[in-house]
Amino acid sequence: MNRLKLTIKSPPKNLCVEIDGEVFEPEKNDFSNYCYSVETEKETMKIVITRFLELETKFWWLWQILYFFVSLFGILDLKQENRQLKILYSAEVELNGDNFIDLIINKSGDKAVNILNTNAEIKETENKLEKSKTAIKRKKIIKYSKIVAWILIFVIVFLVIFLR
Amino acid sequence: MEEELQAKQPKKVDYKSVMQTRMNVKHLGKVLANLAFFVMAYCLIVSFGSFITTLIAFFIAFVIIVFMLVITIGSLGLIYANPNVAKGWSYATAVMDGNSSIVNFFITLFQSIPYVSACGILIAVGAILCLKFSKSGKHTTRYAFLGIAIAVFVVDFILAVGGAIK
Repeated sequence: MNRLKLTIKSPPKNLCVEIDGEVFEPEKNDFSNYCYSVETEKETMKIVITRFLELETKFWWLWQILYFFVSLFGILDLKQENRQLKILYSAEVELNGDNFIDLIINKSGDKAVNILNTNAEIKETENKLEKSKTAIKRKKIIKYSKIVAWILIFVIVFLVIFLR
Repeated sequence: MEEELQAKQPKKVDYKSVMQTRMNVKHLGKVLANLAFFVMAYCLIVSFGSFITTLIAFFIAFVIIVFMLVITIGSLGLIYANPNVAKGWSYATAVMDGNSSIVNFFITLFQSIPYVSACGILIAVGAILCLKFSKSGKHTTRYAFLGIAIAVFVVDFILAVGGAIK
């Protein structure tokens, strides 16, 4: 039986870790790092780390409309910084008894993940941080929609006040 | 048998969609928290503003009431001190009528003293109600009363001035 203990230090929000095709929910330790412990009979394990982007979800437009109205027409909405940065990391880990991997996820630069400490052999197949084209496109759509919505609001207010 | 066993097994949860929904709900929660904070800050500002407004309203009411009292007492004194105008305010206006347009204006304005005094009293009542409600923290009701009092005063004052101009 092989064991793997994966620790992700200072993880970003909305992180998704797949180990051998299965999505795991993280356990937070005292330093609010994400910890995953997996047991397997296999000798190799595939780790895929991605990040969910709000603008890539299924009903993104519906959520955005909801946020727009709840946040008083976008005034009290959250900032949209770094919400289009995509984490693409996949690696194969050769296991031998008890193994551990400590890694950190970069917020900028080319590489998405830096391995800090490990006793396992890791073959990285993908490790990059890139901007999601879909998210950027949708962000633009949201921006223009907000402008149109604000113009409409002003027109409605004008009509209600002055042409009643 | 196998089919039964398979049917009894729990359905595999799609964690990706669960996590995505959770992410969106978290965002919504943060927006709601922002909204709550905004409402709280607004309430605080309004409460403070209302306190100041109440003070101002009290001051205005005090000034108006004192002013109106002085005018009323003065007018009454003028009427009763002079035997020629003993017939009352109408006689006084008749005496002054035609002397000056400004005098006319003031005469008519004085005639509307009861209205403006009523407005002053309304403002004072409004301000007292404001103070009462400000303790219970219902700023909307507080503002409503103050608004009504000020609106009544403004409308009556305009009517009084309008009547004086006519």
